[in-house]
Amino acid sequence: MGFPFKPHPRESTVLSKHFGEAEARTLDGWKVRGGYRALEQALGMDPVAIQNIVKESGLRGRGGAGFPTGLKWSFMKLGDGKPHYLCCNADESEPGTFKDREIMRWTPHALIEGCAIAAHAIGAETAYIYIRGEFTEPLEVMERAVAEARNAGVIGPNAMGSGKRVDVWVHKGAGAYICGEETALMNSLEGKRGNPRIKPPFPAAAGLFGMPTTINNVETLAAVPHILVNGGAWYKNMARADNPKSTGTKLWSVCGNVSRPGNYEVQMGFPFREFLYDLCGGPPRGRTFKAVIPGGSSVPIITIAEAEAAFMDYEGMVAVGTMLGSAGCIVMDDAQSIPRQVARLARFYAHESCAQCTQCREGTAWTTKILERIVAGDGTAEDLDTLLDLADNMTGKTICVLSDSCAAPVVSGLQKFPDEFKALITRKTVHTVPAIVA
Amino acid sequence: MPKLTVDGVTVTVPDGATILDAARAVHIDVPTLCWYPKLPTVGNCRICLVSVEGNPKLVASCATQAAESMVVATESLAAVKNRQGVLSLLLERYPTDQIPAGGYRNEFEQLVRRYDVPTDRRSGMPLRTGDERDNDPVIRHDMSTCILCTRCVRACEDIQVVGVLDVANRGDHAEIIVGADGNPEHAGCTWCGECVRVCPTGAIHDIIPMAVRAANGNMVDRMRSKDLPVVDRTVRSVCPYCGVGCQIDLEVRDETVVHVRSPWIEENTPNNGSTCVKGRFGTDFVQHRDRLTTPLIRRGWSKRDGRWVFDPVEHARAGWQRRGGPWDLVQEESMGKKRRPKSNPLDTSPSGMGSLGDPRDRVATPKSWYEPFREATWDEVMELTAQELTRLRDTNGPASLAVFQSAKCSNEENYLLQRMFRGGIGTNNVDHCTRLCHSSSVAAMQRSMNTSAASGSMREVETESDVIFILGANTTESHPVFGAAIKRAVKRGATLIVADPRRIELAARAHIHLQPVPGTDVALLNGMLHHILAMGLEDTAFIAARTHDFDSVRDAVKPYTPERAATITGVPAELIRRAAETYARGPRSATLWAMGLTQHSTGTDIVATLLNLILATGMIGRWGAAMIPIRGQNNVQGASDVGAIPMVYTDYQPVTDPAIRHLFASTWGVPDERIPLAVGLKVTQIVQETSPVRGMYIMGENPILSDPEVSHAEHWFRELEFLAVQDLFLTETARYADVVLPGAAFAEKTGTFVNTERRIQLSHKAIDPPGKARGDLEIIIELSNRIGLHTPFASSAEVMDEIARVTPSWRGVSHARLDGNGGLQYPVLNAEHPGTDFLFDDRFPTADGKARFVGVEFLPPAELPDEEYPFMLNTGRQMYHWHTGTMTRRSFALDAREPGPIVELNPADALELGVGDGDEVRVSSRRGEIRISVRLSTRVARRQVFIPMHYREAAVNLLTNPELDPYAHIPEFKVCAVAVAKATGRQEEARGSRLEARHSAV
Ligand SMILES: Cc1cc2nc3c(=O)[nH]c(=O)nc-3n(C[C@H](O)[C@H](O)[C@H](O)COP(=O)(O)O)c2cc1C
Ligand code: SF4
Repeated sequence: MGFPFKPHPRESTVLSKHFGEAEARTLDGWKVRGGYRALEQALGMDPVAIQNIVKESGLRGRGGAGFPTGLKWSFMKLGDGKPHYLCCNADESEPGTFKDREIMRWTPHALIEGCAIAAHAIGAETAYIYIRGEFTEPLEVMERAVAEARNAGVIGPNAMGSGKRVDVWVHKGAGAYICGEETALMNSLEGKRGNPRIKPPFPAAAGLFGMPTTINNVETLAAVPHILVNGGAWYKNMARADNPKSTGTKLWSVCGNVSRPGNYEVQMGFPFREFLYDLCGGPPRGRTFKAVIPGGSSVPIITIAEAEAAFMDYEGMVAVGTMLGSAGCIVMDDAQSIPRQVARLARFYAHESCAQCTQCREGTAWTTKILERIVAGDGTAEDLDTLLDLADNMTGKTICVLSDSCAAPVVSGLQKFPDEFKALITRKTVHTVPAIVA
Repeated sequence: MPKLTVDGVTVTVPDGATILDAARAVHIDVPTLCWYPKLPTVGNCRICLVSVEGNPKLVASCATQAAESMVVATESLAAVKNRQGVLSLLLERYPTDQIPAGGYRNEFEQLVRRYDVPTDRRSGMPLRTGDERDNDPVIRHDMSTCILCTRCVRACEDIQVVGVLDVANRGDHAEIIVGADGNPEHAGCTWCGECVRVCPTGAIHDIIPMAVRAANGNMVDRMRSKDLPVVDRTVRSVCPYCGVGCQIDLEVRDETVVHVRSPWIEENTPNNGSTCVKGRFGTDFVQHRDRLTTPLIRRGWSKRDGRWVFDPVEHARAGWQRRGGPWDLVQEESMGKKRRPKSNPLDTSPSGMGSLGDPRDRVATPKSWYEPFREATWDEVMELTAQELTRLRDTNGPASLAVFQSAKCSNEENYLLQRMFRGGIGTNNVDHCTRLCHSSSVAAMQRSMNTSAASGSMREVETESDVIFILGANTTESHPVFGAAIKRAVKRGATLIVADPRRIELAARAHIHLQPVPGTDVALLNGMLHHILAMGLEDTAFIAARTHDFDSVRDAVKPYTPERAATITGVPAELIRRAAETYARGPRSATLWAMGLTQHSTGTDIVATLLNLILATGMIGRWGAAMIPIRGQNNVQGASDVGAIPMVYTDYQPVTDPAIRHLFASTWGVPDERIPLAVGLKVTQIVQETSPVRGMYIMGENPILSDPEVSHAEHWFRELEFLAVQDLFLTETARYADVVLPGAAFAEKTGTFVNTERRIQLSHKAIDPPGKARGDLEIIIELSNRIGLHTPFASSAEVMDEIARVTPSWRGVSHARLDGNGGLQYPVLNAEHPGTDFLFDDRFPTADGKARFVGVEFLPPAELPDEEYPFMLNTGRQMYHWHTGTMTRRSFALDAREPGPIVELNPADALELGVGDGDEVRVSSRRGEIRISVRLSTRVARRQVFIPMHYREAAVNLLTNPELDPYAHIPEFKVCAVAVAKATGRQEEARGSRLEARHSAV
C-alpha cells in the first residue's frame, strides 16, 4: 500500500518497494538501491538480446491493452537508417488510475532507467516522457531526476560511458484525456491537436514525426530494469500456476468505498476476494460491496459476486466479463446509485472525446444527456432502448476506443443493474446518496 | 497490384490503393463526408465503413488499403445500419426543418435521403455553432449546418497552405473556428474560397455580390450562394486574371454570370479546380454598370460629304481641348486627398462594407467622363475608324500607325489584330504589354536558347523539384494558385530559396531568403556562380555537351567573390554561398522568376545571368528542373506566341526573313511588299516624342496608367491624330479616344488562352455581351474587311485553324482537341501529338542545338537614392487587385477588401518621418508626386517603399523612371529614387474634398 502506509505483507513489492523513501528520488540514493546497474548491463548488450529477455519474462503493457512488450519492441526494424523514438506514456488520466503518478513521484530514476534501456532495445536515441499536465509534483520530480541523470552522464550523448546516445526528454501535456491514446499523444508531442490517428500505419512503422516509434506505459518501462537484473524467468514465475499468460507484479490503484484505498502491488493472479477484503480492508463499516469497475473507467462494471470469483490478471478479468485495463479499481458499495455513477462516467467521456468521429462526438453527448435525465427522474422507458442503440452505434466503429469505453459501462450497468434504472424511471424518484456512517 | 471483389465486381488496383479507390474504380458509390479527393484522409465521419469478409468489425474504406482477394460488401446490413446511425447522429444537431420535403439541398442531405433516415430530432441537443463571419463581404458561415467533416480545415491547410480554419474544443463543444480570435484577417485568410468549395452542406458559403432572381421570382440583393436556385447553365471558362490560367465554371442565371464554381478537383485542370480570391470572387466586373454598352464617338466628329471630319469648334465651345475633357488628369487626382481605407488589414476587421459604402458605386466611371462622347452606331464607328486608319496609312505611311494588343484577349483575337495591322495596314508597329513585363526575359532567353517560354510545367515544381529558387516573384499574391502549389512543395520537403528585396510570404517560409538591394541581382547571381565554380559544383558534362561560350561567364564572374557580391547586394556572403551550394546540388532545381528581375534598365542582363546559373548547373531539360518565367496576365504568353510583338510573326518567326514574310503574306492574300521586313516599334518606343506614330488602335490595354511617367503618356496620347480604343470600360486611356468600341468580357466570348506553362486552353462563351457591345473577334473581323483585308472567318475555331497552319509548334491544335480537358502544352506537332510538358531534354532550338552563355557585368540601376530622394521605390501587385484595376476595382469582393491605395513603409522609417499607420504621405520623385496613405509593414526593408500599381488616384507610374533596358526596351519600374514626407497643407485638403464631393455625387 502506498505511502504513507506500510505495504501489506501479502503484497509483492518490486516497483513500489521504495515508495516513500525521499532519498530514492536522487541519483545517488537510487544507485545505492541498485539503480542503473541494469542500464549499464543493457548498454553493453545487443538490442535483440534485451528484447528476448523481455519476451521471456512475459511482461505485458500496463497502459491498458496488455500487449506483450517484448513483441512490441521487436516490431521496430533495427538498422533501417531512420531515427527511432520511444515514447513513455505518463498521461495517466483514466479515472480511478493513479499508479504511474506514484512511480514517478518516488522512483523517477526507475522510469528513466527503463526508458533508456527500452530506447536502446528498439534502436532509438531519443525517449520522450509525456506527462499529464495536472501532474505538477511528478513533473517536477521527473525533471529534476532527468537533469541529474544527464549531468552525471547516465543519459546523454555518451550514456554511462558506453559511447551510445540516449536522450530522455520530459514533455508536459495540457490536460486532455485523449492524449493518453498513443497516436493522439504523438500528435500532441508534435505540437498538433491531440487527435488519435487512423491505424494503420501503426507507430512501429510511422509514429512520432512519421518515424518508427514504440510507446509504453510508465509501469511497463519501470518494470524493465528489474527484469534485466533478475532475469526473465524470475519475472515469469510470478504468476498464477494455471495461467502463465499474465506474469510479474501489478500495481492496483484502489478507490471508492473501501476501508483502505491506495496503491497495492500484488503478483498476477491474486484472488480478487482476498484483495478486496484483506488488503483493502473491505467495505466501510455498515456497508456491503455492490459493484466493481476493476480496470479503470473504460471497462465493463461487474457485480461484487463476479468480482469475488475472479483472479487479478488479464485472463481472470476477461473470464468475468470485464478487463484488467489500467488496473484502476473503482469499488462501489450498496449506497451507490449505478445510474448516477454511469452518468458521471459518460459525462467524462463526452467531455474528453476528441470529437473527430461522429459516433463518439454525438453519441457520448447524447448518452450523457439521456443518463442525466434518467438520474434526474425524467427518464422514459424508451430512453433505455435509445441508450443501448447508441451504445451499439458507438462500439467498434471509431478511430480509437474512447467511444467504446463510454459505451462499456453503460451497457454493463444496464445489463447488470437494470432494476436501478427502471426504478428511477417508474418511480421517478431522484436518487440521493445516504451519508456514510463513520 | 491487389485484386479484390467489391460487391461482386472484381477489380485490380495499384498497390497502396484503398478500398474506396477500388470501389470508385468500378463506379460503386460508397458514401463519404470527410473524405475528399487529394485532401489528407482523416477517416473521421465514419460513414464509409464497409464489411470485409473475415473481419468482425466494419472497416473504414477510405483509410483501409485494398488487399489481395479481399471480399468487400459496401452495402451490407451492418454497413447500412452504421450509415443510418451516423446520419441520424449528425441530424440531431442539424436544422432538419430546413430540409425540403422529400428533397435535398446538398451532399449531406442527399445522403440522408439515400439512406432514408428519419429527420425528426429526438435528443434535444442544440444546433451546432462555430465561428461565424458576420458581415463578411465575401464568405459567410452558417454553422448550424456544419457536420464537422473538417474538409474546410484541410482544404485551407493542405491545399492553400494557409491554415485559417481549425477545430476548437472537444466533445460536443467542438466547432470550426476562424483563427484564434474569429478574425480571418488575423489568421491570414486571403478569401480564396477553397473552404466554400469543399463544404458538403453550405455551412461555409459565399455571398453573390449582385442582385439575383430568387426561386420565388423576386430579385434579391446579395444572396447566399447556398440559396441560389437552380442555374440555367454552367460554362467552362478560364480565369481572366494571372498567367496560371485557372479553369473555372461560370454559373449563369437569367443571362448573367451569378457565381463561379470550381471544376471538380480530379479533373485535369492546371489548378486542380482551385482558385484565388480573384478567380472565384472577382468576376462580377462583367456585370458592372460601368460596362460600355454602345459605341462612342467623340463630339466634334461628323460626316460631311461622305467623309468623317473633326470640327474642333464644338469641343472648344465646351471649354475642352482637342481630346480633352472635363476630367482631372491622373496627376491631379493623384495629388488629391484620398478616401482613405482603414489602412492595415491586420488591424481591421474584415467585416462589411465599412464607411466607404458599397464598392459597386465607389469606383464608378465619373459621369463627366462620358460627356465628351456621343453614342453612335456600329456602322458609324467602323466607318470612321476604317477611314482614319486608311487615311493615315495613305498620307503619312503605314509606319504612322501602331496597335497595342491585349494580353487579356484571346489568341484568336490577337492573331487577327496583328494580321490586320501587318497585312491590312502594312506595319510591324504591333506590340502589347509583354513589353512591360517579360520582354527582357524573352530577349535573354532568345539570345541564349532561342526560346520564349517556360521550359517546364507548374506541376513538376509542385511534385518533383528538390530545390525551388524564386527570384523577384511574389507568387502567393500575384499568382496565388501557383504560390499555393509552391507552399505544398515546401511541405512535401522541397528546399525553397527566395531572392526578393521584400520579405514576402514565401520569403518568410523560405529556407534561405536573399534580400538584396533592389537592382543588384546581377552581382548576386554572379556571386553565386563564382562560388559554384570555386567549389567545382558546375555540371561540366552539361556545359561541354549542351552549351558554348562558357569562358565568357568564367571570366565575367571571376571578380564577383561572395564577399564582393555581399558588398554590392547587402546579402551576407555566407548566405550567398549557402544558396549557391543548395541550388547547384539540386539534384533537381527549378528556377522561377517574374517582374522583380525583368523590370529594370538592366533587365535583360539580369535574366541573362540567371540563365548562366541555370545552364552552368544543368538545371534545365529534366523533369523537376524547370525554368519558368511566371507570366502575369492570362494570355501574355499567347499574345506573344501569335505574333503580337514587333519583331516576329507567330511562333517567333522573324519578320526580317523574306521567306517567312512570304508565307504569311500569301496566307493572308496580300502582296509580300505590303509588309515591311524591318521590325516595328515597341510599346515604349511608340509613345516617345520622336516616334512617327500619329494614329493608334488600342485593344484592352490602359497604357496611361501602366506606362512609366504617366504625365508624359497623357500628354502624348492627347497629341495623336486618331485614337481608337476597344475596351470594356471607359478607361483612363479611352478618355482620350476618338472612337470607343465596346468589346466583350471573358465570359462573353469563346477563345483560347496560353498560360505560363505553354498550356493552350479553351474558354467558352457563357453569356452575350451587354447592350450593343460586341465580341472582340467580330469587331476585328469587320474592321479588317473594311480596310480591305479579306478576313473570312465566322468563328474563333476557324481562326485557330489558320493559326495552326502558319505556326509550326501549334500545328496539332484545334478547338475540338482543347474542348473539355486541361488543354495542350505546345509544341503540339500534329493532330495526334499529346503536347509537351517539358522541353530541351536533349537539345535547344538553336541552329546547333546548343545554348549560349553570355557573361554579364553588374551595372547599378539608373537612378539611385540620394539626399534629396532618399528612398528606393519598388512597385508591383497586390493580392486583391490586378494591373490598372479596371476589372478588380469594379469587383464587389476585391474592392471591399482593398479599397484604396497604400504605400508600404517600414515602421522604423515611419517613426523617423513622424507618420503612423493610415496617415497620408506625399511621395515624390524627379518626375511627379502622389498622395497616398501609409501601411506600416516590415515586409519592406528600411529606406525602401512599395506602392502597388493598381490605383488611378495614386498612380505610381507618375513616379517611376522611364529609363529603358537597351535590348528589350522594358522600363525600370522596380527602382527609382523617391522622397517621402508627411502630407500637410490646407490647399491639398481643400482640393481633396472637392474631388471627394465630385465622386460621391456620382
Ligand atoms: C482513450 C485512451 C486513453 C488512454 N490513456 C492512457 C494513459 O493515460 N496512459 C497509458 O499508459 N495508456 C493509455 N492508453 C493506452 C495507450 O494507447 C497505449 O496502449 C499504451 O500507452 C501502450 O503502452 P503499454 O503497451 O506499455 O501498455 C489509452 C488508450 C486510449 C484508447
Ligand atoms: S473515438 Fe472519440 S476520442 Fe477516439 S478518435 Fe474518435 S472521436 Fe476521438
